[in-house]
Amino acid sequence: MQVASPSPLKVDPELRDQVFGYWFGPDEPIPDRPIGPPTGAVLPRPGSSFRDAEILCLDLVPVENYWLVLSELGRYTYDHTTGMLYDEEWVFVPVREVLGAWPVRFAATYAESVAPSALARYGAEVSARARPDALAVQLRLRRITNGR
Amino acid sequence: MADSWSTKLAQSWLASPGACLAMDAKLAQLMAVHWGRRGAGATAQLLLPMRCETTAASLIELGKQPDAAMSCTLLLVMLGELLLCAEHGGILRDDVMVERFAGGIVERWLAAEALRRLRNAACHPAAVVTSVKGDVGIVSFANFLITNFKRESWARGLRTQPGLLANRAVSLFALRMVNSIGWWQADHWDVRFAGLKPPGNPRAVS
Repeated sequence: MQVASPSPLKVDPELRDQVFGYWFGPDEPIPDRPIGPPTGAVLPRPGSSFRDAEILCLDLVPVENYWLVLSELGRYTYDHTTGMLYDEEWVFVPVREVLGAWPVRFAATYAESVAPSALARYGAEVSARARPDALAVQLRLRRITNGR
Repeated sequence: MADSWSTKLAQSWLASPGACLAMDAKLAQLMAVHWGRRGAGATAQLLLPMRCETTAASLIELGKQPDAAMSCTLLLVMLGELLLCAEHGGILRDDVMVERFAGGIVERWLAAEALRRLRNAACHPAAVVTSVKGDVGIVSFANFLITNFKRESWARGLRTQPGLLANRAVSLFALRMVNSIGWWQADHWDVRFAGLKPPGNPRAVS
């Protein structure tokens, strides 16, 4: 299946404000430095920052290296989203460039999903990266301090 | 480690004998159409070369053996093929079945295509990168994961060490895909998994 560009113009594979990072599952050790390329990405809600204690964001997944907004239909497909369905504790660690430090850990949980008609709150280009017929997965990321 | 075989298998619908029996009954019903069988001749025992119920039992036993990951992977990809192809009859060799299953939903396409490539890789262990064209072989599977499943970092190693296909990480990946496809098909076929609740809502919301 080819991922069609929403316009005849060439589009970037990434959303402008997406934040790359690494997903870690329950009891999975977080290394002292990032190993390998990022394993995930999220799109923070405009106006929020990873410097906040808690942020809402969309979960982004690659399809042929083109990043799309994950819909509820796709939650079974990825290990972090499947795990969270079973109340597993998953951690997102943004790449070092975001906060100038590693590892800054954020506990991820499901927040209320976003209807396609409401996706514009995440930016004008988001709707073109999301399914028009399914709710978009929204995550709540809470910064973990002092071990929790 | 929480991400162990037993934990993930227990989370899947395959761990439920009732779910497996319900899926077997539906698969038999679908295959009966292709074989022209009805009534007493349309049972899972007569029509299914592999059944969810017996496969799940094998997966539980095999999973206890640390060196049996490849056996688990093989069972899972064949069961995945049955789940994907039973409705229309056919082989998961090419991507027609995948497109049919996906129905334009990219998330479903990803799971089914990953399973198809893993099936092709597992069933053609002697395929080598220099002689295989297209989407058959371990390298093709690895490349697909690298571009679509970033967390499966073990896929990079597969490109140079095909023996890693026998690792537990691969069978865990296959289990996740079969679990996903099974839930989607249960929803599509209106198969009820008694006592089980789908994790989250698999239906599109209009």
